[in-house]
Amino acid sequence: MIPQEAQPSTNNDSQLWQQLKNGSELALGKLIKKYFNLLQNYGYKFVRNEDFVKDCVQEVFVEIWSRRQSISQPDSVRAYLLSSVRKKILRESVRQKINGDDKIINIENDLKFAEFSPELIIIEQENTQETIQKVSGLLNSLPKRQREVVYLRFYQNLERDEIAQIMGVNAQSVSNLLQAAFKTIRENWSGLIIHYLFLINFIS
Amino acid sequence: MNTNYREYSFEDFSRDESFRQWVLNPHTKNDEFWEKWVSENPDCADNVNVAKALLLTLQEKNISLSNDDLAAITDKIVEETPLIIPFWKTTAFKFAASILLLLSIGLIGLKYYGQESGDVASEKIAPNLSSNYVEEENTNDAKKQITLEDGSQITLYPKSKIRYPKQFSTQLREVYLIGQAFFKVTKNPKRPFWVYTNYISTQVLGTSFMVKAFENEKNIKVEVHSGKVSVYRREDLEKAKLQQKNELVGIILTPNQEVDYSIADARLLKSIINRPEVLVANSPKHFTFDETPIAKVFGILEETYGINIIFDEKNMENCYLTASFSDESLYDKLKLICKITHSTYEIVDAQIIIHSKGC
Repeated sequence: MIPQEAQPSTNNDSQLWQQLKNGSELALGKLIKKYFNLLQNYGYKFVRNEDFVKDCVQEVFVEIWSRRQSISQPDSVRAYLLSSVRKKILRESVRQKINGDDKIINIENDLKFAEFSPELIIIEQENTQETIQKVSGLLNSLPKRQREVVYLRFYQNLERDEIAQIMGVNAQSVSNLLQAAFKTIRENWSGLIIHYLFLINFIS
Repeated sequence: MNTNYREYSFEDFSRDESFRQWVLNPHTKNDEFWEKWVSENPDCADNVNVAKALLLTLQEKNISLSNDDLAAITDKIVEETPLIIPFWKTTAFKFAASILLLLSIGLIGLKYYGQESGDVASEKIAPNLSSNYVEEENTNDAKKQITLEDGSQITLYPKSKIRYPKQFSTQLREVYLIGQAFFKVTKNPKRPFWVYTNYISTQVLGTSFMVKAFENEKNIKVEVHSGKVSVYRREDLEKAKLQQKNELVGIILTPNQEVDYSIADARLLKSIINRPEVLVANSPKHFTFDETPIAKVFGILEETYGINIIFDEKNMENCYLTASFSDESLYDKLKLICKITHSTYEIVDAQIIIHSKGC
């Protein structure tokens, strides 16, 4: 039996958003339940401070709730939230000098998408742990914009135009960044797999 | 649905919702399926492992609050967050739909219809406004700001009075005005906004506009600078209500058009406003025509001002224009064109008609 897909229905999101605009606390609760953790996870990629990130995500929802009467209906609620969290974190981290960088001129350009640290993951199986080490090494070798695109595409499971909206670039740039990242991943990974198959053939 | 996971690449796996759940939120109903599937399809192990590793690497650290924590956050937000009613600008930006519109109504007849008959009339046309309403009167010399429960804002001018329900109905937002007010209406196509005055009613769908009521004018005027409104005669509305008809005889106004209601002959007359504005946001301020066929010139003007220009194409096929325009009003431009092409123009039913003897 194939398990039922718990597909995040975009249609459902729009409905929730509309209800929220009409003042539904229930809709707010549902959106928080659905997206809060995901948004924290994203924020954590920029600033390695859980409390700070949690406050930022919470602040995004506070702003949405307080401006519910005037807020517009986004095409993609998920992309809208991610993009809001991204902006909030950038603004707050500059304000509170969380990054310890006083020379930030252009916030957008100075966004640091942190390298992935596999030691943070607690995984039981050893072989998976090993694969993770390799994958993270591979991902961390990518430029930070590519790293973020890969994160948004695979982990957040977003479409290209949604990613473009969040990162403030056009869809073509997203495609280019993704292509470049894919190329690196494929080349290195297929290399590993082929090497592995070759070894087996050779031995047998 | 039988997804063929055997043909999945690691990318496909990492984007499959069921697979993601298994990896990112284990201990759910998906565990069993995927564990079984993986053991039955060992040759797909590479793709599965890479996808799994990719997702876990990207997740990195599972920061997650429990449902209880999230519910507590929701409660806190709801309890402690004040509702911010948008300012004019904020709204204008957030609701791209906030179409700018200026609507002015000059109104006479209060001497016959005083306040009481106005109330009676408003009951017929908008029963919602006859009970449980708020009435605000501005007796000061300064404008008065009023915010309605839907976020719409009203600037009530001196010596004016507005009546609106404490709670709008789910289908309609209705207000009754005597005097002058500026409206900034929150867009909500499902709940049209109606402004009633003594003789005519105006329906809008989220916009800002001015309603003016001068006691010494013989005409009611609705002027649209951008956006779209429909204007109805009160008697037509009442008739339609009585007969439960859905069709209404009204006049739709688009930008740069106006309607005049003459109280004497109870007639709505559509025309063009005094100073039509350039509608296209990015349209060039300067037009330079160099031996340009007149049809093309008219086409450009039509587009710029959103007004129809009617002319005899055959008659004017030899007319060419060499001129450059900058800030002149539309009428000045027309006068110049007419002088050059030996023609005249008139405005009929909010359209410009060119009479030419040919060039």
